[in-house]
Amino acid sequence: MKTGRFVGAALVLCAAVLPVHASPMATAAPTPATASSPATASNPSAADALYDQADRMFAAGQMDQAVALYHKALDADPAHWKSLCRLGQIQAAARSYPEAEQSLKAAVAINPDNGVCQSRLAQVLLIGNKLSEAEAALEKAAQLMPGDEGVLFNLARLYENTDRPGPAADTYSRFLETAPASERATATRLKVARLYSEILQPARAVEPYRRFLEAQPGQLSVRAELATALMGASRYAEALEEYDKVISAGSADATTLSNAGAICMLLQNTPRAIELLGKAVAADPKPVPPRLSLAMVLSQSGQDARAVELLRGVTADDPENNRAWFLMGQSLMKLGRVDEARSAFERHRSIHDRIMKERVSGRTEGHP
Amino acid sequence: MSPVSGWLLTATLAAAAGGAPLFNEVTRPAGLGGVMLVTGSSSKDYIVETIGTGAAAFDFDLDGWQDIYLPNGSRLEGFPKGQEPRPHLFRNKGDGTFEDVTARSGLGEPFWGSGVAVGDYDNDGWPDLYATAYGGNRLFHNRGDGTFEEVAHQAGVDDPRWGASSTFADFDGDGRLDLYVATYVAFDTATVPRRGDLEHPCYYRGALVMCGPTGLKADPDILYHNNGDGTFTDATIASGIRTDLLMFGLGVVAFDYDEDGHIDIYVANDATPNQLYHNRGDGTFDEVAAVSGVAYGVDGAEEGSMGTSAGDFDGDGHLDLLVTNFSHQFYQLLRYAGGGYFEDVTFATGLAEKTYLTLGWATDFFDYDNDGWLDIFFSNGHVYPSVDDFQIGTKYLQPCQLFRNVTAGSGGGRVFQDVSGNAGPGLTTPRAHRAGGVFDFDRDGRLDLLLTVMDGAPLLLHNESPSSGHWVELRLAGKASNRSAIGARISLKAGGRSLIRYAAGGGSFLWSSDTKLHAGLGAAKTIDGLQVLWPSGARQEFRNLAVDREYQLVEGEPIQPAGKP
Repeated sequence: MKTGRFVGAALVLCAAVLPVHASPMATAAPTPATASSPATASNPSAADALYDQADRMFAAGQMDQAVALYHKALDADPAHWKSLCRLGQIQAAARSYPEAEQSLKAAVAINPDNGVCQSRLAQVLLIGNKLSEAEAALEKAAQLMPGDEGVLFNLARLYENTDRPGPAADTYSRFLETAPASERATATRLKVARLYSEILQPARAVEPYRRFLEAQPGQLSVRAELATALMGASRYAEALEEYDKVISAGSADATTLSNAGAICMLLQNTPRAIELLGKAVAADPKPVPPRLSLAMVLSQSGQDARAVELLRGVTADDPENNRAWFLMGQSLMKLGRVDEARSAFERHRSIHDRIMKERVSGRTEGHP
Repeated sequence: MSPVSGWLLTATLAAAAGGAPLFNEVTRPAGLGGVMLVTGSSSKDYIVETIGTGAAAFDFDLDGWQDIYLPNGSRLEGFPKGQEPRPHLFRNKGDGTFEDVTARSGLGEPFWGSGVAVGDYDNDGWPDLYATAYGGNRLFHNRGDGTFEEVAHQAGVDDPRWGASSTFADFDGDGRLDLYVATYVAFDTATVPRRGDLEHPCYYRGALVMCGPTGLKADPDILYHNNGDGTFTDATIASGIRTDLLMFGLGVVAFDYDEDGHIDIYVANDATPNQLYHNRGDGTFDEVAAVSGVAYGVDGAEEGSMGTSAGDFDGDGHLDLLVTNFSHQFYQLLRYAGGGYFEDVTFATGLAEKTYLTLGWATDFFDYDNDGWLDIFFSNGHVYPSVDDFQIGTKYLQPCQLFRNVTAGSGGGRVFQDVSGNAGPGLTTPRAHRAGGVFDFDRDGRLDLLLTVMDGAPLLLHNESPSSGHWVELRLAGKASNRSAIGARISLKAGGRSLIRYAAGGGSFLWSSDTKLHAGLGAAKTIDGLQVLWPSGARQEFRNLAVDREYQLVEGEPIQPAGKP
């Protein structure tokens, strides 16, 4: 898990946050009501009345009086969780985080099913970098208040910052369902798309990419990301359409050209594949994959001499590239240069056998 | 110049002469509907639960009608005594239906079966069965009275390793069938992690899946030499089968690719390079796949190969190869170009894009419309049930595919047209298809299909193609050659064309059939010439044969009509 602190400013506060006119002030943390507390005569109805009175003061910004009344309510009923929760809120606003944590923990210990208190506790815990406890509180809050956008956003962010991109993407998605028009929505859609791409679920990245691009259609690098996600989801024709938009805007880098060329090869549009892969190699002559793809389509179109020339360059740069030797062998064979072809095939096999030996004795995996 | 060169997208497909194909599923009316093939858990937590079970079509009682044998699987936790899934032997009654004769055949003992090889290993005239298995392979000797005796131990072929496809063929030319067994994975639940084991997680595209084959131990394939006294000797090392670099063997086909008179072996391996064993002529081999262009995929990388078959798709007189592969890999059509080299024509023949997202198993060349050109079927289905959650363009349940061999443009080259849309729901309903092959169960001259479905009933698909093409079917029996005539090569001249049909050993995936060769003849009303090259090297020629019928061809004897009784 990452150990980076949560920055308070990055948090989205819940709906029941401290009113803007409330003056932060330090208050003493009340003693939590526990089973071992000294027995006092509990008067819940009196405590409720005091709490209501305190909340009116709170709403009016008369914080000192409110705090005093919350304490009185707790005197009347030490298990009055609403007062504890409000006190925790006020203490947090006054940056008295240890006291706030104590009050809020006491509140949720008495009543764990109040989402607002859980959420407030989570915020205080996040500020204290107590991430595991914060996560538990946020998950409980999200369960109790499934439509609370602040809780969902904070929980998603917690997952994201603790290297759990899958839950982060899912929770950000829930945030977007809850608050589709939020000012954070567009940026969050891009975040969701990238998180799904990161966890190799490209199909789930497509819709958030598309929604992002509806809002910001000029972001060509993001359009290229969308195309890559579509490619990963095996939606090749759609991917090519998006790559074409990037290419026609004059913003295609070598990777975009290479990917678009590879799709054309798959879709058996060989002339276009040769054109795009040729441009990719011209834009950046070093990477091997576009050179191999270009050699393949050149061979498929009968241009084996050009393919061999290209592959000689690859093997000069990377003598252990077994695929290059294989493709070279195929082209040489088609050119009738049988001895050279067999030599290339033998070279390919010797390298490949080594790779295979490593692979079959390596760690267990799913299918390559 | 390759006859299939030229560009698919610009090619004008001269299709349609044979009309719309239709395969009608007749599993239930034919009497096979009560079979449930079992392969482990539905969640497929281990690789042993994913490859399914095989099938064979062979005339065990020599009544002229091809019968059906279906091994069955099991599950790792086993079944209560008496409730185990059992293999089935169905006798073809000759009226389009089958009778379950398992109980009286001696084939009913349960075991976790994989593939099947059919061959008369003792040359007594009765076809025998070799069944590969997880838990020990079996050899069932056909007693000739409708019963079989399990003799694997006595015969020395009761290997405990997990066998997949296997085939009989006479590799050393002594007139007796030897046996090649492709082994898959050295599987043991004690050492292979279960799917979802977070201590040893296995991933496919980011999702937890069952482990393997990558990283698991492979076992060497096995070549058994037939001693001629009912026993076999393990000749794997002596014959040159590779044991230094082990592959995950699944599919095997034995055929003489370089036409030197000696039968060779091609092995389709999962996640490792495929192998081509060239027969030196004495039953020993050189592994030449890499230099022959058939070891790797189109880009030089190893593929997850499953099934394979041999046939002359372009009518040039040479046998070509088909290979089915994992999803997001192209299946391969490898055209024999001469000189020991195969050219990958998957793209040029239009099969690349159509097979990229499917995961293929069984396949064969077969002329379903009797137009004289070999068409192709593929049985498909993924190994990961959870692949549906990934949304990567492939599904767990997949339709089979049917491709028609048609002329490309004016150059006369051949391309494959996807006619799956006309094939009928029996073929195209998505399922976890696995093994299967072609045979003409009702002897109407049109090739039918038998497919297995993992965790389901098998599929019997009757060919109801409206094609009016003529045909011939040839039942072969060797005398100096092995009795099953595996390795026999037929050359036909009819309607101005020459056709090659070959009695390959094995082929497809976990499938076998006895040697009955079929050729569609199109409009030809007479077979002008028929030449047989027997595995012994003997040749026979016949002229002016009538079409639309079966013939019995016994080595050294006159050809005999062998129509329906």
